[in-house]
Amino acid sequence: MKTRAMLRLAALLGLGAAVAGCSNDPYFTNPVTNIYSLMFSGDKAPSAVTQQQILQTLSATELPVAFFNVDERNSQTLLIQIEENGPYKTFATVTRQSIVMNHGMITGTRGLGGDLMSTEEEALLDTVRARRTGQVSYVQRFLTSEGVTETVTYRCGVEPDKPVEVAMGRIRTNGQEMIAACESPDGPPFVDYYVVDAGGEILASRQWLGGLTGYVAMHMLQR
Amino acid sequence: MTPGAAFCAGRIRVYAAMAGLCLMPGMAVAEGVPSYNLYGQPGLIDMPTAEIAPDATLGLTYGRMDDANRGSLSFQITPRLIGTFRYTGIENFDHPSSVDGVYYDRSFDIRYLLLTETKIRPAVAVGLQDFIGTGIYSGEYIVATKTLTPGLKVTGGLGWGRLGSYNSVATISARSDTILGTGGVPTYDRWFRGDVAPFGGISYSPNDRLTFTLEYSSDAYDEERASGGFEHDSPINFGVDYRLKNDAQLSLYYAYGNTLGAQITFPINPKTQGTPGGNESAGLPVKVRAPGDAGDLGWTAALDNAEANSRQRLITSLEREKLEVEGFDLQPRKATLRLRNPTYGAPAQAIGRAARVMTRVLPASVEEFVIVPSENGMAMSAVTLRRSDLEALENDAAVEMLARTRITDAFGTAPEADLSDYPKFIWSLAPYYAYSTFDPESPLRIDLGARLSGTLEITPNIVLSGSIKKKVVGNLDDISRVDESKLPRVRTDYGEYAREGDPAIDSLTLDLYGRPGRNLYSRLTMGYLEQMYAGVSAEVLWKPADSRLALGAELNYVRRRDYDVMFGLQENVTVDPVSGVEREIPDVNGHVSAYYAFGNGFHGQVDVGRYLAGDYGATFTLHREFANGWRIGAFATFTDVSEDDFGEGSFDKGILLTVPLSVGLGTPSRQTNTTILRSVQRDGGARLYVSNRLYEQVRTWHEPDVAKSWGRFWR
Repeated sequence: MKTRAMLRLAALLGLGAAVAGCSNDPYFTNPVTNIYSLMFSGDKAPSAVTQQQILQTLSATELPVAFFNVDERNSQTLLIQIEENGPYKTFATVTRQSIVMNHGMITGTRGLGGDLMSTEEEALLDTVRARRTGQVSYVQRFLTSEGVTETVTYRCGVEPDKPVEVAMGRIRTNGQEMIAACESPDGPPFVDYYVVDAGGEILASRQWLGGLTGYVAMHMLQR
Repeated sequence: MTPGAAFCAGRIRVYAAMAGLCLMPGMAVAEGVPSYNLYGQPGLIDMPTAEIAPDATLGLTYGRMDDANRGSLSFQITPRLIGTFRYTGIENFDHPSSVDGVYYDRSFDIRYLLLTETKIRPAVAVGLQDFIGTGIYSGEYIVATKTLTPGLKVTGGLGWGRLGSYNSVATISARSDTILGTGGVPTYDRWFRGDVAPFGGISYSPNDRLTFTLEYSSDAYDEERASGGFEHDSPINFGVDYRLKNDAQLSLYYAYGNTLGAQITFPINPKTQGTPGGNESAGLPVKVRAPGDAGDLGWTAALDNAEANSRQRLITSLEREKLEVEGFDLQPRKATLRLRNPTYGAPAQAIGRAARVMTRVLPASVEEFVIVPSENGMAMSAVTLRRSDLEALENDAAVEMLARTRITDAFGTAPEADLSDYPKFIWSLAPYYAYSTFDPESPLRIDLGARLSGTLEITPNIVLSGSIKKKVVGNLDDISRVDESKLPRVRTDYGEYAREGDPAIDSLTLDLYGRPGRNLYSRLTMGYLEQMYAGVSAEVLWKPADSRLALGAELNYVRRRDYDVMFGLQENVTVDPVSGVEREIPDVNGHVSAYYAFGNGFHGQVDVGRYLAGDYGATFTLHREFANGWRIGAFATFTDVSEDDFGEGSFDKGILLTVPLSVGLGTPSRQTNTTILRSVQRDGGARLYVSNRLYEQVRTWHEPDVAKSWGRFWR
């Protein structure tokens, strides 16, 4: 009887080890942790960027730096430019989340969850950069949970608002606030704000990046 | 400093809220999951409606009313077609096949939406309930449902069979009451015959959470009154549903004038499970070459050196993308990467990440990238991309890149595998579960335990692998049901294997994979193939890279394993425990198979050949697969074994459900978990289980599958 109990204990310990799951395979995923994370994954803790971090980052790099705030997730982060492709500039965090911007307009995100995959932004961008009033079309593309591309085509009304002073990080200049109010039969409506400098660069914005991410605020801190 | 967050926020909220108010109600109605009834289909309480669920919805329902327990799984197969599988246990039921007074039964329903609802016209649907098998719930209906005002719906219909048993108004010819075969056969001789009775109801939802239902049932519960303790005092039923935030439905009913009912339904939609696009970190961006660099061929003077250098940088960079280099060839204008993908469920994502790494690592003159994905050492396809397209289209719609990508056969074009890391040994220890379903003595049995697996890759295509498992808790070993079989007991000795096989060697095989020719793939597996059989299995598959059609052939030589599921073998002779008859299991079985991807995620498969028990016939499988890896399907096997000789169920059939692990992780994974629900396991139409059959491995990297997941190329 005693040996039986011992065996049972050993077996339970074995199961314990197995539940923990182990392998020498770097790509091994334990099905139990998977189910656990499915059932008990909580919201991520809010993250805030401090003044100190901003100063440190700006003094450590000559590369363009941008600040992002995702309202919905209460998360703030600093991104540094790591690559450019024509007018598109890729900014990234050390944890490999990235944001692509065309003259400061966000055209893609990666690693945020619910990522904006790409946009057709030329008409909107031209109008915003030229600080003009106009009606333009604008397209956002996302992946669905199924893994299929979902295209949302918007009609946007763009108009200038008031002039503003920009004083963020190393950037000190005057800009013009632009408003774009967009509607679509296929997706929720949104209103974007852009602060554009005299050269047509967007220095700050509050931009809609889709249902999961919601609005994101961006500020260039160094360029 | 918290820059930015507040600027102009007030106005934005006003704009957004106004626009939001205009848009939301319409969206809510379009996406709504309807109320499910006690039978696990969209409906009132006990009666059906003409409602359907959003496409691809899986509904899991447990309902209890009086002595009847009904567990159902329904699937919205297409936007108009819904199918349901149900397992019922009726307590206190006097029937020869009742166990301890509980009568267990499995049933299938199907409903088709004939007309969608318009402003004037109601939705109209036709349905067959319990249309296969012994048919205690057998009934048919035509039903119409109309939304009068938002939240208020009325339903009226005509029922036959069970649904025509109370206050019938007419009779259309005679309804058969004999069972075809030994159950398990469509009861076509009954459909829409016999007494017809009207039914109907009304449902009202004052808000998104609550629904009140009133119905007039045309079901007299004749059988439950005759054989059980059911009392039918009134045809009027009342119900209230409460819907949780995740669309789960909780219902309470007062039914038939004297009894209470309760129900819970979990709707899941494979299309909307998990984070859209996933939570995995970003891939690397494309590195654009400086103008003029592409012409620089100076480096080719030391080509070997450059190749070794590039290879090392590729290995390092791809490791960070959780991809592996299996081989590499560098030419002045072209580079070929033999790629192994242990990570990404979507093939296009693995290809996209590898291609972006190549733009960062390879010399500027290399314009053509050929990525050859490899599975078990087999070169699966050659994906050819132009570097300048990658540079130009990084920020465009993914289809632009797809249009410029060629996917062709990789036969003879793949670089040699780099064998410096071989042999490779990989092991893992993980929990496992095993189950058996629908035994009336215990409808669900489960074992939990630990499984130790090991794989020795001698080369990428010569693999020795095995696993051993040890149960910790469970009750699979108390299967005591012994049924007579009129065939060699190729599967029905499962109780013996479950009882004695602990610990058990699940499998221990040596696998050889190859590419014998253009469009051809091969597999040779030797050893302990599965729980009950050892032997040799050889397979060949023909599949062009751009084809929706594949053809395959498999030949197996088998020896029956000992019941302890260790190394021993036994004669291919079985003795029936009931009749005492000795029968021989043939040494050889095999099939020729045709596979076809119909499009929209529908895949069909036909396997024709000789089964384990020596019976000849064909298996038909149809499943719907989603780009994220979810899969729901059904299969049926018809062989030359007569329905009487087959026994309960008449022929082999079942449902399969595959859930990708990435759903829970939120990050990519190639692992999936497939559950097969077989109504009953008999010996006819039984196939050998062989892991790593070729078709699924091969099609993953061929044009139709790669194109389906192409949205993830830039993810």
